[in-house]
Amino acid sequence: MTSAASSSLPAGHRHGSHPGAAGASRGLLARYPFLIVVVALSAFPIYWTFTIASQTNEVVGQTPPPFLPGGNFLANARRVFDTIDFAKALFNSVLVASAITISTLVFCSLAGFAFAKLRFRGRDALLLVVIATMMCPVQLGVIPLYIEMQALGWAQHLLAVIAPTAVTGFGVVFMRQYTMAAVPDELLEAARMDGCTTWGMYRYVVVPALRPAMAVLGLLTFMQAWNDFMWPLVVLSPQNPTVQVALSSLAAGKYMDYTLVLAGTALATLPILVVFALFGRQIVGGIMEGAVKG
Amino acid sequence: MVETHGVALQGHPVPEHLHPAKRLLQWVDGKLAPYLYIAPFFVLFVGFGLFPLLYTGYVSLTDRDLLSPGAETYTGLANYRELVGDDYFWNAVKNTFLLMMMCSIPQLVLALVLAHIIAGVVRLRTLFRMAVLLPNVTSIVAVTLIFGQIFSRDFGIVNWVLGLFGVDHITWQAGDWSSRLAVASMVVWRWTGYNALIYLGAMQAIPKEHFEAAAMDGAGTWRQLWHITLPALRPTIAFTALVSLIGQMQLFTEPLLFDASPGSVTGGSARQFQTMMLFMYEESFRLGHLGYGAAVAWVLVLMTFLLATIGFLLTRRSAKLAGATT
Amino acid sequence: MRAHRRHFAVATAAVLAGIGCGKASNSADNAADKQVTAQKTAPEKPGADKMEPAKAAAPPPAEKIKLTINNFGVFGYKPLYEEYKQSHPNIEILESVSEYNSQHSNLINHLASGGGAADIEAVDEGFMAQLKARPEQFANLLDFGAAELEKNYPPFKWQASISADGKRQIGLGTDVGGLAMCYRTDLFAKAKLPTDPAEVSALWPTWQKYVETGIKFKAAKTGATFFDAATNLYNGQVFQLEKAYYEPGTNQVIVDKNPGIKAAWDLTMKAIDQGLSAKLVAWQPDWVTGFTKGAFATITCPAWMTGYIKENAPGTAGKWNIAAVPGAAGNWGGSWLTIPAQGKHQKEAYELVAFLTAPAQQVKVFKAVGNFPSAIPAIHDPSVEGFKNPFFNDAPTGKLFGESAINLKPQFQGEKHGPIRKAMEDGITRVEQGRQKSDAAYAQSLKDVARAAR
Repeated sequence: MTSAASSSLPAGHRHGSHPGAAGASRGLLARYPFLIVVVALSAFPIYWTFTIASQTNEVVGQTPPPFLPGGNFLANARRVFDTIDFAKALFNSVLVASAITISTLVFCSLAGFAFAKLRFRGRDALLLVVIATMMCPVQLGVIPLYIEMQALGWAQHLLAVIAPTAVTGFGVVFMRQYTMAAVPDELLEAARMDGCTTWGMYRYVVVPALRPAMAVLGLLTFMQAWNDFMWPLVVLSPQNPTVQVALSSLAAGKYMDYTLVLAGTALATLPILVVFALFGRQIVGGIMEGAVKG
Repeated sequence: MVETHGVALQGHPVPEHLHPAKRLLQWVDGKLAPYLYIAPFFVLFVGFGLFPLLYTGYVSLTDRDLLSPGAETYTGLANYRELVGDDYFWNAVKNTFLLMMMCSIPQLVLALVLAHIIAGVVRLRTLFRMAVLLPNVTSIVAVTLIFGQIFSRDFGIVNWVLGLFGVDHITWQAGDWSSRLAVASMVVWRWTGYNALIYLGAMQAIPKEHFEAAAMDGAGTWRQLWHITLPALRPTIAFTALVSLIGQMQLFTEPLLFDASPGSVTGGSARQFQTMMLFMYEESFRLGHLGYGAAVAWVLVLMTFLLATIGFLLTRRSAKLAGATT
Repeated sequence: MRAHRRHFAVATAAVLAGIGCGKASNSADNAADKQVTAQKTAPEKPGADKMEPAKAAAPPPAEKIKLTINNFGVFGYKPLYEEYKQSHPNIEILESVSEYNSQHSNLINHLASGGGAADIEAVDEGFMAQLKARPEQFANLLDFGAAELEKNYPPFKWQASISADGKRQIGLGTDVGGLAMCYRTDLFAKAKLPTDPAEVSALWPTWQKYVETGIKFKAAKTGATFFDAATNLYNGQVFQLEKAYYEPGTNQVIVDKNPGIKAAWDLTMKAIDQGLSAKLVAWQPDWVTGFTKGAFATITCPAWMTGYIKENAPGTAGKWNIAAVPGAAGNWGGSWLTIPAQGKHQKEAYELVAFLTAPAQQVKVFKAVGNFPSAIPAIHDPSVEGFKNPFFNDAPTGKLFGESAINLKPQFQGEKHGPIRKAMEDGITRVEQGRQKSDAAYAQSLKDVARAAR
């Protein structure tokens, strides 16, 4: 993997430097336009969501449909809140996604650290099991999982949504990967020499080094948890939904009320964008700092 | 590479006069720690991952009808035998693999290029990082609407552009390859940024000296990508390839949404884009053959496992051949 | 059962319960329930007097009961719940409205898992065949006295939700789609065809004549096709058959032996050959735009389609009218209220269901949201029968849809009716898409039918 040369510098310390920086000025001109196109393609659907969410229904039916935002967003938003208990759905989703994200970050980094840096019997075999668990499709499990939740008495509770994905194989392997790349053995050995406990190593050496990985995994996990629809639909009671389930009620009308549905979608996307901003800063911040300060 | 990493666990000889509580603590922090650290994952897996798996395995050995719980009879491997001879099952397998080729490779290549480029720009870096993840955040409703519009026969953008070149309007859902292309475009659009972000995170760990040295040697962006980024990211690429493989084997949402008839799970009028998951869903929930569907699901899992193993062995061998340091 | 108490989440659960968790009421209150049931004086049999809403003598303040009801689309029941609470102050009604597919897939998942369904579940025509083949999953409404409601309903509606042996009725009908033919008067005028609804209805007493009219229309080269999708033509014919895919009352599939099906198929193929189809698919963007752009001149429309056209092509107001469908009978859509057998309050649920589906309430719903009633007394109610739709040039939709529903002969739909129908429709689509020729498509569809029915 990363060569031995990496051990001299703390991982992630790339202040002011980036691949291809010097001597690539000829490529520079093409880079920004390319990225702008990518951004445009990536962002268009979400932009369009907000555009339609701010229009009125008559306007939407025209061809060509409007491409610029209108002034009707607040009115549509108010309709969303009137039609469904959106506040509760938002609250539930925030609760669920946060719980899953925190649990994922904590337990996956712990497990990732163990698999990456600690030697113990059965490590390889257990790692294989972890990887194998990533291969089980979700749709498969709806009925048995529901039966199980009923038996536990968790059906209709948010816990039923949190528990199954609180720690994933993906997260464990991802963290293991990153720990192996970003935390040099020598650093840990040095810490051990200084009398550091295993827990201490995790807390003071590994965790700070993992910040960009935590940001990435946290973001991806939060997003996945936020967008989950199938399972919350089945296991939660309609009176206590998460936001995606509540949104489907908006689409319930006889005819698709596009402005209403997309207004709901837009409102449901806002919290994610906030999380984006928060985590994004962490990822950027990770560039500036390293495992060892200074 | 797995074997050489590791830190000595706290197992230094303990003076006998140490308080037993302290010795216990050392043992917990030392020998027991790894098992404690990986325990939460396994507890949850055993609790919520294992049971569905075993349950489905059991159901696959019966003739369970969806809406008649408790009325099933044990049929042994009958479902699996039926599966082997089922044309529609193999059609679904074929579609799944075709789509895998059409989605995973472009996705990962594009993600790598994207990550490399974004890591290289100075201005607006955060904007670009976040923007590439937007497709993953966009709601299914919006995605369905927009891609439905883009690929619509009479008024879609793609057909309009093709019309400029004198090509007849294509009914995208109708054709074998046109439908797969459209589905692939939806998948690539959605997941490229996701992978790019993972690569970006991993690139954090590449020391800057490598790029500086290369730049001083006159290497441009592409050569740096090929000679520095790519080798350094090899394990991450392997990881994303694995995740992509698993995701593609389980491809469900995009082909479901692309079907012209709403709620149809046959993947087009001639099953031209029915994936294995869609096939499983059709058999389990539309036709009520839960036993058969469970067998399909299990075969899917086993196939995924097989492929992943093959992939792992291949990368292991190629890594040895390339002499990459592990 | 209180396993979760041992968990850290108990605090969360308590908070959530406080916010109104709506946990399925499977508490150990069955004893109290029985008490409530015994206490209630027997209310007048609902629907016995055709037009009076069911009134129960208000019992002494009884155990508070929460009834959950899941439906989809727009049933328009909110004001009815308020009304019901006047006479049943101890009943709290919790409604949840989902999207069509979510509602049904959720219901099916809950039935398959043995738990989680609401006390009352709305089921649409598209799923009824599958569900009524498992009548043990639902309460038998005949046990609650629904038998005397049979005369309220058109035969097809009552038969569609009853088990194959006729012994278990699992749903009470809410609305119907009926079937008529919506057509564009401007396009007909362009093609020198009559535009008056009565004359237009006379153009096609049979589906054969409908296709012949289409051929005439095509020859006039108006730039539009005659209809939107061939599957509608096929389904319209099949709706009217006495026997469709199953031998009535059995599990025996008769598609390959049924001349009616073959005739419907052949006529559909002829129409496709003649270029009468716009080859669109319902609810796709092209189809929606097709309304505004006048891509097709006719479309088989049930009652709810009229609202859809109005909503999505407002600019075409006044350009449409409605004639009778060939055969003057048909139905597309419509729902029932069912009571899953999992429910703990089946008697109370039945009373609510009987109230909501009573003819008087159906009329109210029609006036409020336009769902076309399924109960005969409601259909004959002056406000329904005399209804004229202004968007459609004041077409007498009340009369048209009502008659089509009442005239429709009941048709037995076996368990796999849905997938079988889909297999046939896919065959037609393949021909429309140019993937296969008629014979090959038919042969493959038959194979798919056999597979679906296995």
